[in-house]
Amino acid sequence: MPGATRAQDLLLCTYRRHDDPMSLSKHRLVRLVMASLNDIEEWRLGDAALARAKGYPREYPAEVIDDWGIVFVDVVLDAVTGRPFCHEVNGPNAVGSDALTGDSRARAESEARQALQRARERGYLDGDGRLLTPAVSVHAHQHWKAFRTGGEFFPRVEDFAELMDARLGGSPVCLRGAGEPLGDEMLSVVLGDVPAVARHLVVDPATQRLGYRGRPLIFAGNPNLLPELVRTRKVAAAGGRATDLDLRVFHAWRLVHLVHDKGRQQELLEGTGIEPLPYFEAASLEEARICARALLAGGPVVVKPNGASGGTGVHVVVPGMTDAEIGDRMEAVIADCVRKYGDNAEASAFPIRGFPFVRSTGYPMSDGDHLWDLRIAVQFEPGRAAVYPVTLRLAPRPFDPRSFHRDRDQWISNVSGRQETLLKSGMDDRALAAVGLSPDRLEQIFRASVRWTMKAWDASARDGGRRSAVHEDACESDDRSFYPVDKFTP
Amino acid sequence: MNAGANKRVAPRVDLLSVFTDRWSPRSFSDQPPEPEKLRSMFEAARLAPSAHNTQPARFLVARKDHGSDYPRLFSCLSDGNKEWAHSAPVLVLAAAMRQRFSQVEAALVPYPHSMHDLGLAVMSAILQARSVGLHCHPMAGFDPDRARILFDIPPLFEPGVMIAVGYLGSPDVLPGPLRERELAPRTRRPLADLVFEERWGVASSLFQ
Repeated sequence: MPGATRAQDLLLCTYRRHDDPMSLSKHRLVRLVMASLNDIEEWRLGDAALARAKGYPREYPAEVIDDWGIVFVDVVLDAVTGRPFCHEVNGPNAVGSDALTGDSRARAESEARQALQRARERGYLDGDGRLLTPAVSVHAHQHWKAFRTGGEFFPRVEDFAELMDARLGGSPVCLRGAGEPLGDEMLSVVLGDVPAVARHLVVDPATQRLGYRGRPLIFAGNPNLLPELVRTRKVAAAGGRATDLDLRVFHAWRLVHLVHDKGRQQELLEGTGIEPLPYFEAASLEEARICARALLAGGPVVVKPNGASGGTGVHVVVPGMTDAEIGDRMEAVIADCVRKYGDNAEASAFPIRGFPFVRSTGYPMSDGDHLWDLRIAVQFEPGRAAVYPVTLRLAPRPFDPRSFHRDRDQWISNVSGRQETLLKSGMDDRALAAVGLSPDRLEQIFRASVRWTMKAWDASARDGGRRSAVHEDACESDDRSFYPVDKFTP
Repeated sequence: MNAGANKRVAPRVDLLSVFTDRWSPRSFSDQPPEPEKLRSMFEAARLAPSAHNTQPARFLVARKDHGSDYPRLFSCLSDGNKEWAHSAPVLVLAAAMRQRFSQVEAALVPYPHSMHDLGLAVMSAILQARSVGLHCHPMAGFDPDRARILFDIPPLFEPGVMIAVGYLGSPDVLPGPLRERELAPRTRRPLADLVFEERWGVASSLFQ
């Protein structure tokens, strides 16, 4: 519904400089309007006083992190062992940052600080902090059909625009819908869905930097723009990763590739306190079928496409399926992507990855035990990370091991595209206790999430997070005395 | 007088000119180094080896003809270095990450090689500079704590060295003692003092 997207954007593109002090509820009307459109009302779960009482967000040192960003770590406790697993990590493409306090101001602040840093280091600011050249920030939300988080997204973009307005020394700032031309403002804060925003992004081959309608970009809020640029052939890709592009304008930019590399994410969990899962990567449907067959020896297998979001193309195969049935599921992975992203979806959908299915402990409800996952937010800045639980997401229907592979509602807790959602606050002690998340276990998961973020950041800083970027893993694992610290430490 | 004539070493073996023609001058010309030459220095540093591919080196650049950082970084130098380094059009502070992040431990761990690895990166930059006609003078005499404060250097990083960068200037502008040093021949220990075989202190037969 591109028309609806446009209408939303125009409805909310009324930003101008605010001279009157805003109340805490200034975005409430927007959220209520969005709620009537079946928005996911995570903001209603927010409780700033409760968050303060519980010490959220909790802060941890994160010395190796040298820029701004946010990741969302989705964890479960295994029904059999009780150990924590992570089925994936998302980046700033994901939402829920309003579930703690009812707004995403802290996230907007993080985005604004990064944007200002990029503007400064690229020489776009004068000595008084004013923009010397017109520039653009882009804020893309999901494709409309799966986009149900406008109550978080639109207020956050407006908060971002306000913060930039206050900090750019009087340089005019204007919100723009992705469909409209830019004006004479110095900073255009552009918002729209991923395809609409990506349509006007161009890569300068000389600098490998992104521009928007001829103006330089200082911020891009959603890493899902990247696969869209690949799909529309504006950016080349190799091994599922976009190449020849300066990524520094993206929020959490070092992790942009890892956001879509669900396999590498698992490897980076090693040593964090969250159990890594084995996985396969397949460059073709046939290879995916063969790999899935092999992995099925250990139980059901979840398969995911590269570069998708919102649960698109995620399927499960179970022992007992014929090769033809497995093949059908693999084709469905790609078909789902084509349906959502268009004919060129295959350009970003491979490699297909497969992982063992981890059945979570059950959340007891009147109709039976529901599977769940807990989303943890790690918002970071140079030197430190702030962590908080977002939401406990329940699968809409009770789990039945005999039929779940035919019913996504039994095992996918992702809220995108649902008519009904079952969300609990991440601060709801009774809900957490019901699934086995004690305060100590939660703290362990928080620390593990920070460790994952630091590992991912460090590996990415060295060479985009590729396995080859870090050289100590094998030798240190095999021989802990490999690096003779004691010998050389005075 | 050209200081280079005295500093050039006649090696006993074939060496690249970046080794034989490199020394640490105290007099620089006013000509600012071209940005592409400075970029090439740091690109060379970027490619330097490091333990575990940790890449601990970080650089802070201050150019006389660009921005307002130069006086601040200059103020970190010791008085002895201030006496001559004011002629350098570019100052660089090189710092090393003191701990390394272990992917195995998922935590910061000791990294006693950090200064060694910084040195590798700094020397790479210095040799690249020489190859494009620039000279560098690395300096230990500076106040790392002052640099920390003035440039918000995080605790994880240890300032290791400052480097004066530029084109060679005339030694005639230097005060007497410095001018004398600038024109003195470049001296080094003989190789027999440095390279041993069989046991420590026994000069290698390579140089008999």
